[in-house]
Amino acid sequence: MSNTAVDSSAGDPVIQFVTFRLKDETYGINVMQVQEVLRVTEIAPVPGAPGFVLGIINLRGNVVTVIDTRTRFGLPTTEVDDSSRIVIIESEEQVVGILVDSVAEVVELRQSEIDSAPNIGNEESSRYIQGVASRDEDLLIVVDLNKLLTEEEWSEMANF
Amino acid sequence: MKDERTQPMRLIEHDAALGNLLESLLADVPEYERAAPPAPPAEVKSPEPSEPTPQKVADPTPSKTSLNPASDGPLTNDEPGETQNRNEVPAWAQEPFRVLLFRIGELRFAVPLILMCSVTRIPDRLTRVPAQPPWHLGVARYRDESVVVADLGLLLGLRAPCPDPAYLLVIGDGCEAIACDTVEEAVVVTADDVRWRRAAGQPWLSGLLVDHMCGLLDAEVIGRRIRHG
Repeated sequence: MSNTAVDSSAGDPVIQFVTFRLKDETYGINVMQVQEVLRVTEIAPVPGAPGFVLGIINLRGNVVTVIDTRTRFGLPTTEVDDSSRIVIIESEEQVVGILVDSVAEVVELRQSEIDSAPNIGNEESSRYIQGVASRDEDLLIVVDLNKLLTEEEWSEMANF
Repeated sequence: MKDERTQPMRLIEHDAALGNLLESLLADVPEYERAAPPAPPAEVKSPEPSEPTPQKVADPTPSKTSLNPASDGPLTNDEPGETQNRNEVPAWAQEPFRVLLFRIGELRFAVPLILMCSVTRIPDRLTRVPAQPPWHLGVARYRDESVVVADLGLLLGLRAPCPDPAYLLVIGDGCEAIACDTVEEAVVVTADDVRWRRAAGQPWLSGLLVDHMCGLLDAEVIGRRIRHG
């Protein structure tokens, strides 16, 4: 996870993405923003937190806020199971966790392979969708973690 | 005859009702229609008539129909190509042209083949992208392109979602597609077979295919609408 641009030939860098599953789809986030992947431990709810905040966890003495990614993406929530993971990410100078159904693998994509297909990411509510990329007969939805929350929401997160 | 007057909507056959609907979608200002043919092309560019004739330019907003395309507003005037008066036959229709007839639920449409890319069966699974509008059915991979699949009824605000999508009508440059239930046949028509949309009708409707009693879609406008949301 140390280097994102494996090859920058012809100005079309290869970027590594950690892929995870939510409901029936596979999503990718830039590996450079991923610190670690955890099994789900006890998540302590925070009274008054926004709806997409599940709560906080103690990560080696540090308090980390965990986002319910399904809720954030407008997907139905589900019970945590053995496959569920908390992906610890760094974004907007904050460390947060995102709860996902499962973590799959690390894939490499060229920038040019990410297709900002029409109407994906145009809506304000989906601005964190960077595009889609073809992957083994399937499509990978590429997420821009920096846009996962609005500036206001990132500021709010800093207060937990 | 008396019965028809007392219960007009109930007794009208489905096709006739559909015809009425499409007619109303095509409807514009009768006075404008009559004035338009003798007018020179330059007249189209001058929105202000020299004499104050308030009845001539009536409210162009749609529409008296139960389908009520309520969400058409934002793009009707913003998109290039949607504001033009369509009492002129498009260049591609100067010669006989082929249209594909298809159905979405009970609604039947036609689309000129020249404005289409291809027709294919809908894949087993569409990639659902979160937080997209209701008409956004998902993304399909087709011929190395990511194709956004739209429910036409929802896209156009017709409140008639596609009940059982089975085919994709890939339009434009191959990055947008309409889902439909049934693909019927391709037929050759001429410009005279079409009652072309005039003035302020629905921009996504090129006209009415009279013999087939169905709307002739403007795939370019629909493609733009899919691209811009």
